[in-house]
Amino acid sequence: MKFYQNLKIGNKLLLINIIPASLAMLILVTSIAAIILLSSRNSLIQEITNQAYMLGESLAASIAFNDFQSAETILAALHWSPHIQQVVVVDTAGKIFAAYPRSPVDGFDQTASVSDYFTEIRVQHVIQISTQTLGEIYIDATLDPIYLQLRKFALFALLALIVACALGILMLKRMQLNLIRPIVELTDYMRMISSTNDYSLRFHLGNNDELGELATGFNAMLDKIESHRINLDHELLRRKEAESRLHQFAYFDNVTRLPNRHYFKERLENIVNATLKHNTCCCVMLIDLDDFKHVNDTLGHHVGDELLFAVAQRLNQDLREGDVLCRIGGDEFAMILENTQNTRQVELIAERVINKLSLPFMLSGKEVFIGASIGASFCPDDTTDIPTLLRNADNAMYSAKNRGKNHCLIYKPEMETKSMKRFTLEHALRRALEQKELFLLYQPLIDIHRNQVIGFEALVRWRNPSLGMINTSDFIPIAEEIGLIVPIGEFVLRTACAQMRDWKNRYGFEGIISVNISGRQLTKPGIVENIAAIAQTAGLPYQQLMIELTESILMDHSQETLDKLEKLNQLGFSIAVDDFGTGYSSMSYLKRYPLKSLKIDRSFIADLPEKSNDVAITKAIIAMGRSLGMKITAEGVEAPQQLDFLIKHQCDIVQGFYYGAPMSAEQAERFITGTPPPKPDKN
Amino acid sequence: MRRFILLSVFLFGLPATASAQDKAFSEYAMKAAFLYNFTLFTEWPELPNNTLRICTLRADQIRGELAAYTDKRPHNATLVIEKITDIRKIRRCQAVFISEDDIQSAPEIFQATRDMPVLVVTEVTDFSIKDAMIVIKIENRRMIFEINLTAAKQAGLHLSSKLLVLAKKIY
Repeated sequence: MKFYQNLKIGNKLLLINIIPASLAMLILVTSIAAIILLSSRNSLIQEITNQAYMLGESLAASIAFNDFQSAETILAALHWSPHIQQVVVVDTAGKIFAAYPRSPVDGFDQTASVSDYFTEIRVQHVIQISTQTLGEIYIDATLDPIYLQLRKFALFALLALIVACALGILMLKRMQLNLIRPIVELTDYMRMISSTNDYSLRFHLGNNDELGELATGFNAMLDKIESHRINLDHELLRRKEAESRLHQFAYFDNVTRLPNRHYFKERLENIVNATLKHNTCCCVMLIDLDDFKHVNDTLGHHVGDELLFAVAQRLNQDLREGDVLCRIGGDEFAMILENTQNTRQVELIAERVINKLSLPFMLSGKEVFIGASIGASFCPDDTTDIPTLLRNADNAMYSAKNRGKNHCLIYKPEMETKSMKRFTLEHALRRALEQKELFLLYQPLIDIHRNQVIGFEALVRWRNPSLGMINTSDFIPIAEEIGLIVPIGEFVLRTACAQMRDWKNRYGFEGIISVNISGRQLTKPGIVENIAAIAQTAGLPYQQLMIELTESILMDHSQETLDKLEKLNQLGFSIAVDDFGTGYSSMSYLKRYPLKSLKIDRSFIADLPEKSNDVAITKAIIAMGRSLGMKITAEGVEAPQQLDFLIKHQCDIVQGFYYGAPMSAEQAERFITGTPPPKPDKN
Repeated sequence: MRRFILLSVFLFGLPATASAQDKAFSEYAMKAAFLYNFTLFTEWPELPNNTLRICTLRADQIRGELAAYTDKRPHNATLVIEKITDIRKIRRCQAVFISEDDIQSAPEIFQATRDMPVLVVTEVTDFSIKDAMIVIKIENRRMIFEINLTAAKQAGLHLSSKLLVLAKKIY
């Protein structure tokens, strides 16, 4: 069956035709042979019967006259018959009278039947003359000559069969060619289509029979496949587009058009692997924008986004080929520098970045200043582990930030402890308020013309049981960063106000209390109302509260800040500019905002009156302040020469160790009650 | 007549040959069989009363043997074995056996049967009875017969060809 299934259709058809035909022919031949056999046998019987009759007739007289010689003569003539094997003539007594062949047959048994129907026949005939029975004749005849004949016939039939088959195959092949050629064509076409994948091919079969229909069906199917394929191609194209969009989303940052953190990580992995493989060196540089939060908070998110985009543009300009720039966080960018030679090269790149970013940005028609802190770490010099490499760069970056802004630091192992310290601080700071670890110190403000205490600046201090006293410069930036500055600021404000109220109650003191407000605090919605509410709760008249702001807050020129300051001013609060002269200030804000006071930074005071630069600046600030109608305060006054200079140049107020370091409320009370600790004589 | 004499001589001569009595007996039985068998191969123009009459004269021995066949019906006729004493009555016989004892009567018998469909069988080998249609002889210890076809034809008898085939001589 397997063999049949593997046959080609043509051969199958051939088999289907030839086998039954051959079978039929065989059956026919066999039937004919059987008929021939039977009829031959019958005619032989007839012939032999006739022979027996004739022999009987001839032999009747011989028997009658006992003339066996004549009988045998008659019988001898039988040798002409090919069939007759034996003839026995017996008389009425059953005695053998004559026989053919002449040799007498031993044990001839007239009753015995012929052994094989198909090989022998026996004819028995009674010899009579008149009505008188004379004897019997038995003729045994063989069918061998018939079989011989049949054999010849079979041989001939076989030959005829072979010839017929050959002719039949020839004719069938011819006829099948017409039938099968279209099928073969179809098959070839299908093979071609499946091997070339060209579904635009079509069958062109002349047939109108089932094969023609099949071809039409195939064509329809191919139409469908082709249209499917086209649809599929469209679909695939759409999917690819969607994928690339997704890829864009997944790997790119929409704001800066830079690759994102995800991409950065993958890329870093590749580059680190390549670096290790080729035994080179690479560097990860993290760039954190200083004051970005401030820009975002004061100017709005869209300006923040614009700034980020502008930063990305600037950073991109300096990129070497193969370097990777990504935006990995809100205001954090990362660079991967391949094949770095030494730290100096990286430092130069970082310096260039810092310089570029310190140039002002023009955003929505405003000049915006920011800075950048950069941390870098090398692979494999520092580590080959990617997370560690990133943490190193991060530590270096924080160290740079702590160093002051616009710095670049390359990772050193000791930074780990610094960052650990920072972590500890941050942790402790979060609990400082509720643990009541924060407290205020007060530094007197002295009216140098009247030599009289006119108020105090409230300064926050932090004493932690395990860490001890912590520098304001250490924890205030952290508080700013993690947002704790707002509650801390409120605490300071509330405590200072309450303290002033207490002093008023007890001593009738109605001086000024000066409190620092950070930019972060100021940007908080409702800050003005909040300040007013705190002062009101404490029962402190607004005029007694002075709010100190740094220059950086005032630089953003936003309407929001202006509105808030205007409102504070209208309510009666006074506003002072702290550390005046240190920021990248433009003087325009001085006329813009309702400022009551300028506090000259201690750095200008320290070297008075020796340093001519400081003298010039201090003089200029005082002159400018006075002309703008502001009170001028000098910070950090420690020496009588400084005081003299300031008195001489008509500074209004001083504060500093010369009069009193920041002190506890109890100590400050002594100033109010007029029993201040002995101070150095101005002479 | 001459033929009759010849036959008689022949028949008389036969016992003279040195043959035993029992042999002579079986010889007559055989001759009776021959005689009967001859009637089977002979056709008469007619069989009056549907009777086939085989007649003997003095040959009683053969007649005795012939008696064994009386129940048979050759040519579907009644077989009658008759001893003729009056030669004139011989004309009603269909067959006559002239033995050697009847040799003197031979000419008379031939005379009587001339042109009559009577089959004359003899055992006399004498030339005088050459008018007999069948002569039975013994040759080389075998019984044979000769046929005078001319006589038979003259008598209007038809002898079967099978019989002719077996005949040793045909005149």
